Order: sequence, then structure tokens, then C-alpha cells
Amino acid sequence: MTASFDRDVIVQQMRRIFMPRGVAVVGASGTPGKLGYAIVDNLKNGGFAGHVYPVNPGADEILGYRCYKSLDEVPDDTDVALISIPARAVASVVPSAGAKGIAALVVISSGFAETGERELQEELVRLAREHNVRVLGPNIYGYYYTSMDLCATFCTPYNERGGIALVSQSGGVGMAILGYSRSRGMGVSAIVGLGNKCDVDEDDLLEFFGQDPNTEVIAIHMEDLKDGRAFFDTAQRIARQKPVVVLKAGWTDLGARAAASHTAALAGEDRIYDAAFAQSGVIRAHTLEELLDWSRALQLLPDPEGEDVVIITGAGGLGVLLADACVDRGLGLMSMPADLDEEFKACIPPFGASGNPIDITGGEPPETYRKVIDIGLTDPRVHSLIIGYWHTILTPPMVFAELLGEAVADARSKGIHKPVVVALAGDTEVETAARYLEERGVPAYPYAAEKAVAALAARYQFWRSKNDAGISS
Amino acid sequence: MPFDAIVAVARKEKRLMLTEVEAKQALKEAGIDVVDTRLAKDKAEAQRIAREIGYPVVLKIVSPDIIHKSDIGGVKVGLADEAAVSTAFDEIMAATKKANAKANVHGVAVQAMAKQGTEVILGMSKDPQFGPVLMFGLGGVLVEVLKDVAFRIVPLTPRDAGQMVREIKGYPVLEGYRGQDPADVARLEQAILTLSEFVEGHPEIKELDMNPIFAYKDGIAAVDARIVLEDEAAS
Repeated sequence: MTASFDRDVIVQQMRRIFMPRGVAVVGASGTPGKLGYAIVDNLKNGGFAGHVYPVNPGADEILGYRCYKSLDEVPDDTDVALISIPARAVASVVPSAGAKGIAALVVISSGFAETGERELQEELVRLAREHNVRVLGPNIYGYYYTSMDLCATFCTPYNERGGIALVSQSGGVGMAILGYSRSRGMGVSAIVGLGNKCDVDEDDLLEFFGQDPNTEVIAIHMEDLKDGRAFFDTAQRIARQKPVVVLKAGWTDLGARAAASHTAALAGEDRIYDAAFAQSGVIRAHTLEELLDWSRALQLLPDPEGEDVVIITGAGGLGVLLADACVDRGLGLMSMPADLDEEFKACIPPFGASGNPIDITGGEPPETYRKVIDIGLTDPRVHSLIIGYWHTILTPPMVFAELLGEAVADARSKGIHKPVVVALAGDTEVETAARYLEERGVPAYPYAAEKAVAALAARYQFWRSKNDAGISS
Repeated sequence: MPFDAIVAVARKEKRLMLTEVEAKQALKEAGIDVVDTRLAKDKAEAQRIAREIGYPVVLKIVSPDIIHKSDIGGVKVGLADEAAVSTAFDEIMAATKKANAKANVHGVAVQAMAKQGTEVILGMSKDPQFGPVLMFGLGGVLVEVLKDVAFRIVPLTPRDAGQMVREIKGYPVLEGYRGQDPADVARLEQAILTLSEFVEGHPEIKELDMNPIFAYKDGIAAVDARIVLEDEAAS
């Protein structure tokens, strides 16, 4: 069902979901191991500072919170009701929620359209509309909003704050997001499960996260859209202000359709999604890893000031791979001005290669990396740096990471903010180096050349669409 | 005839497919350059129109029941004089009767013989998620084999039209490859925007093709056009 609310109303509704004064848990349980227990436990141990109102007719108290017999009895500052009761009983809660003025039901319960119970779901939506209550889900893991320490889920708590809002249709993908974020030290503003998205869907969340000061990048995993037009219209307004990355599953097209016109015959579903994303400024990822890597990089990287990219590498072979990837991803390798070339040449051994990529060769000490990187950072004609590091005895991974971290910090203190990405070739120590660099705002990728380039290309795509660049007429 | 009137005639005749003459007339009135094409109900009228347009001309069968006109011998090109038009008219009628004896024949379209330009295709179809979408690509056989086309959702901005044209791999062909004349990209972009506005204002159109459009150094001309209407109930 298409939501037909005004933008302001949607934002107000979403604000009450993400910044609730009180949260009711219908189906709360005092028995460890049950979903209804895990939800209350996560609210408590996640550190949510608002009110928690467990609802269970058979209990007086759960995890130290007073328990209510029904939703009718909870205090009036309840903004959200988390629902974890059997699917057949969910619709019956809606009138009470409406009477309480609750903004939304977050239906964690499964057993709706995903198991063929379409009518049950339709009845839920019909009642929700009638009683002016929004529905998130059903069939979801819940949601997180870190600036409120809100872990409204039966999964593990997650409180690392940051600028990325992650929205997923599937629970499995949501959990991959959680693990990736934790392992990379990636802060998130929110993680939201959409599940069957019977009511609240991508465009509602785009509307909210688009104006949410805690969110810098919006990452969405979707299998389908319920209302492509609404998504497109909302994305048109938001994706050029704030990066939106979408992983649309099912992108292998199943061929053309029978139609009377060429246009219709060629208009396969996936090509139209491609067009809609390109036109609205949405960055399309094709794998889960891209979705997460690019979101991370979009958050860390500043906008470039131009198209001229320079590659600095300690290994010629890596330089070639990086250069290939640049061409593949539409990044422009700077043609090196003679004076700048001389400056670089003066720092590297005679058998190194100047030009672009700049190959400083493998036998160089940390100082060589530092000198060459400093030139790249300070010369205003260089707009972005891609660094291909090669693990050597002379410049071990952490030594490199520290020198690069320092070089970038020095440049920032002088007001220079350029995108820098790193590909790290070496033994497992490069993982520690990568983590160290990412903590200092430099996206770094162990054991891969192309990922660094793809991440930079994502930032370029956003920057270009923001500037409407790429049009010569 | 305004588009509403063209649609009314088609509805009355219970047709969803407009004839080529109708489709071109609609597009011309929308502001897109089409090759001058008029309906002749009989041979004498065909000869008179040919004189007005100027030789050489093309004759094409106009029948809602004949979709692939050239496949059945329903198209004759390069007709240089009155006698050639006469012979072509008879041959087309015979071929049509052979292909479909019950075909409802409106007559023949008499069309100016457009000089060859770079062939492009521009069309519209409807996506269940996003509504009307436009497609642009290099025309002729290439569109079918290579599928080198770009799509955009209606309505398009000038930025979208510019990016759409440049998105196809064959764009260098439009820029004038190996000394060939460049195509009038500005006019193509204008046509894309005009079409966007036209289809946005006419939800009763289900599908639309202009294939080919000849793009010249200065200007463009839609050589063939097809418009399919929605079922009356749906529009």
C-alpha cells in the first residue's frame, strides 16, 4: 500500500519511531531465550534512556520494568510499540495503539505475506490506516538508532555511533551489516529492518535519514520496491545532498519482454532500475561488500576538488592494477605536468617510474613514501590520491600506516582535505594497518587493489551528481 | 487534427495502434520534427500529394492490420515520378491483399524521401514500478543486436536528456566518427525533452517508438513512428 502522507508528516512519524519517549514491548517475556525477553533485555542493556513498558498479561515485572496487562494501560508517552506476539493476534493490537496515539507498530513477528498469509497482512495495514498508526515490518529483526542508544531488536545490541544509516529488507543482510560494522569499527546512525514492508518503506526512511543530522550516508539493501515512483521522487530530492547507496538484489535480468515496440521490448526491469538510480543520483552497488565498503568510504572521504587522480605505489604491478581499475571505474588519471614530474622524480630512485602511476619501487625507506605522499597532498593540481602499498622489511605495514596517518593529519591541519584511499599488499599485518588507517579517516583495503579504486569512484560518483558534472553541452 | 481527435478516431474504430500517418501527425503537433507524411486514400490522391511534397517519394501501406509493412512488400521507396507512384500503388495493394485479404486498408502514406542521416531510436514504454520511461539509442539493426540504449524516467530534465544521449556506447558515432558529419545532438536532446512532456501529458499512450529518426548535422527527422494506446478502461 502506498503511503500518501505529506513529507512533514512522514518526518514527524519517523522521528517518533527513532526518538521515542517511551517504547512498549507487546509480547515481552521474563524467560531468557525468548524473543520477548531479548527485546526488553536489549532495550535495557543497550542503554536506552527513555521509558520501557513491557506488556504481558501474565507478569508484574520484567527485567526490573513494571509490566502492563495490555497496551491500553501503558502511559501516554508511548511513541512506539514493538510487537512480538503470534501473527494472528497482531491486528487486534492496532485499535489500542491508535487510541493511545502511538505513532507506529514495529512488527517483529513473522507469519504474514512471507508465508502466504497475505490477508492477515492486508488486514493489519487496513486497521493501521484506519487508526492512523504506521507499521514497520512485519517479519523483521527490529531497528537500532545509536544516538538514542536504542536497540529495538531481538539481535545483539550495537551502540557504535557513526554517520551511516543502513536499511535492509532481509534479516540476514541486516546481520551481515552488524558484523561488518563491528569488525571495521564502523559507526552507524541506524540499522533498520524492513522485512515485508507492508507500510513503512524505503522512501519513508529516505525522507527521515535525509534530514537526520546524525546520518551522513544512507545505505539500502532492497529486493524490490513497492512503489518505485515514490522512491524515485524522494531519492531525486535527497541523493544529491546526502550519498545514497543501494544494493538492489536480483539484477541479473531475465531477458526482454514481448511487446509491440522496441522500447518496451528492451525495457528490462533491471535497466529501468539502473536508469532510476542514475537519474536520481543514487549510487548502485552490485554486491553486499560494495554496499558496505562504499558506504564506509563515502562517510570517510571528503569531496575531491577535481578529476585528476594520482597513483603512488611501491610495487609496479600494483600500480598497473590500480590504473586499470581507474579506467574501469571512470576515474581520470592525471597527466603529469613536467614540473610536478620533476619534483616526484627527485624523491625516487633512478630506476623508479615517474609519470602516473608513480612507482617509488620496493626498496625504499619510509621517508620516500612520506616525501612523495606529501607532494601529492600539497600540490593543488592533484585532486585525489590512490596509494598502493607493498609490504617490505624497510617499510613494514604499521610504519607505513603511521607515516600516512601523520601525513594526512598534517595536511588536514593546513586545511587540505583530499580523498586518499589505500590498497595494501602484504602479510596479515596489513589488516592491522588498514584498521589503523580507517580509524584516521583513510579507507584502506588489504589484499586488494580494485576495492580502493571502487571506493574512491563511489565518492566521485556522488560528487559528480551533486555538481551535475559530466555534461558538456 | 489534435491528438485527442486522433485518439477518438482510433477508439471509435476500436484500434489501439495508431497508423503511421496519425502517429507522425501527433508527434509533429507535439513539436518533434517528422518527415512530411500524408494519407492518400486512392491512387490519384497519392499522385497529387507526391507532386505537392516533391519527388522522389516513398509509399507505405496504411492499415491497422499490417504492422511489419516492409516484410510484406508494403513499402516502396525512391519513386521518382507519377508513373512510378502508380505502379508502386498497385503493387502495394496487391501485396497487402495477399498478406491479409481482410486487412482494413486506410490507403497509402505518401512520404518525402528523407536523405540518409545517422539512425537513432527514441521511444517510450511504461514500467510497472516507475511509470513512463524513455529510451534512446542508435537505431536500425544495432538497437536490436547490441541493445546499446539508455533509459530515463519521465519527466526528464535537460541534464537527464544530456546524460542519456552520452550514456550510450555509440555516442562517438553521434559526435562524427572518422570524418562523418556529427549528429545534431542539441536537437536530439530537445526531441527527448519534447517527447517527455508529450507522454507526460498523455497517459493514454502505452508505447511509442520513433525508429528510425535520421539525425543530420543540422536538424533531425523522424522517418517512422508508432504509437500504441492503452486500453480505454486503463486510461
